[in-house]
Amino acid sequence: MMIRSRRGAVHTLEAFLAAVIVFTTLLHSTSIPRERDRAEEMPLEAIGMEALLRLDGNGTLGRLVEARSWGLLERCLRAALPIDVSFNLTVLDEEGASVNDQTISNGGLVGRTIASTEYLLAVESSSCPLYRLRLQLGV
Amino acid sequence: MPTASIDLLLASTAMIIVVVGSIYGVNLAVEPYMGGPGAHHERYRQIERDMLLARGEPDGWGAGGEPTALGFASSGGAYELDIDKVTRLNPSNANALNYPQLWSSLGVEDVSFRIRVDMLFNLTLSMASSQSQGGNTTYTFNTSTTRRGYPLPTDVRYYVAARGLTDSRIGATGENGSGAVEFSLPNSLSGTALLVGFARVEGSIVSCSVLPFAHNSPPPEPPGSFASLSPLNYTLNVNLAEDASVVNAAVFSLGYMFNLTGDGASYGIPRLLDASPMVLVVTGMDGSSYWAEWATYPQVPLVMGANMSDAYAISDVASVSYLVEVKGALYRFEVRFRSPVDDD
Repeated sequence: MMIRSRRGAVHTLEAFLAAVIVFTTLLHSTSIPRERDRAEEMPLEAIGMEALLRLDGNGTLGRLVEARSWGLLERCLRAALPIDVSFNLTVLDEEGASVNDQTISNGGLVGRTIASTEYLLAVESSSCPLYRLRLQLGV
Repeated sequence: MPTASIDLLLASTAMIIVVVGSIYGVNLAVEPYMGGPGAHHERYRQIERDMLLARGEPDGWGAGGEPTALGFASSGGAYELDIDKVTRLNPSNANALNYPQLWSSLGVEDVSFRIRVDMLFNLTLSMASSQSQGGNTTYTFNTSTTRRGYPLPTDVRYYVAARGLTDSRIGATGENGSGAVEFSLPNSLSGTALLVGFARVEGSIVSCSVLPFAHNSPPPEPPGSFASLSPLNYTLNVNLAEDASVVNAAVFSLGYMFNLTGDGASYGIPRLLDASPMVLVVTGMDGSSYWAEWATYPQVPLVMGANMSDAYAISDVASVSYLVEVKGALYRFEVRFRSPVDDD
């Protein structure tokens, strides 16, 4: 009977210790700054479209595609997209054939969420060629 | 009642408290990270979009005066911001708006915010070595271009300014984001000199940086010791410290370099057409020593707004950022919003 009584007291002590630990953790957790990153909540398609629109705004995108400067295009996307977003860009001509002969990517698509967005690019020139840019994004 | 029953009752009560507390606490802690945008997030996005797409009231508040409605847009396309409206966010500018003015002109009472405007990548300049030979000293500088630690190959334009002398070089950073440049300065031009660098990935993706260094003189004083520079409305206003006088004023951009004309207190800034921030440099003397001060135009990077470092505030902080264009160059405009947590 004495042993059972002591065992009960020990269980009570354990429970109170557990309660103290849990409540201390909870108290601490309220002080953790909680910030939401846009990259997590904004749709990837919107992030990709924003980057392509800004690059196309002053003609950079069209100039790079016409000059087949795939390396520079990749660097521009690396600078314009959030650092934790992986991307793979395919440039298609009016017939839907792939134009870029090298991968335009920052190491391949990586991430749990993959999205794709398409952008119609009209290049300012005498022939005004049209391209379809398929930007796949991962985070 | 037997002792064991009391023990059991106490233990059960404690466990129930633990379980209920855990559920409440876990919900409190992880709720912001759970799937789906929070109730405020879409609202925050709308507020920032309105800031960036509206021109504010009065329309030309960037050039002077206090806005009655907040908006940073210029008369150009969407997400093209006015150079002066952005510059007036920088607290080091004499014409900067303070946070209460911005907050009241935004007109949303239950939201506090903190604005951060940054270039898209970092250009870091550092001195590698200096060697004196004959009447000249040759300096070697290292350059690094990175985006949050990831190297970014760029084309770089360098300028050096010492007293009335200006010189330029063209260089590049390689696949590892590193580069170097050399400048020789006559030893007769002792005093603080500035190395100004502009790096460009392509088109509108540009960054700049300034490195002050001592040329046959004591180490440079902290920025603002001799003069504070406040560009606004394409005029550089110079507020000199006592006994300081101006020797030369110049403007640098990716493609251009000009000396400025003015009366020592204000200088006209030319409207340079290249897609690049401008770096305004003023050199001068204080007694027998020569100094150099600088400011960028638009005056970025900048951070201003409510202090959100108080870790114990129970509130919902969210950051929203957009790519924006100022004078042809791209910047990241991030706003952190916070509003009280809903009780319901």
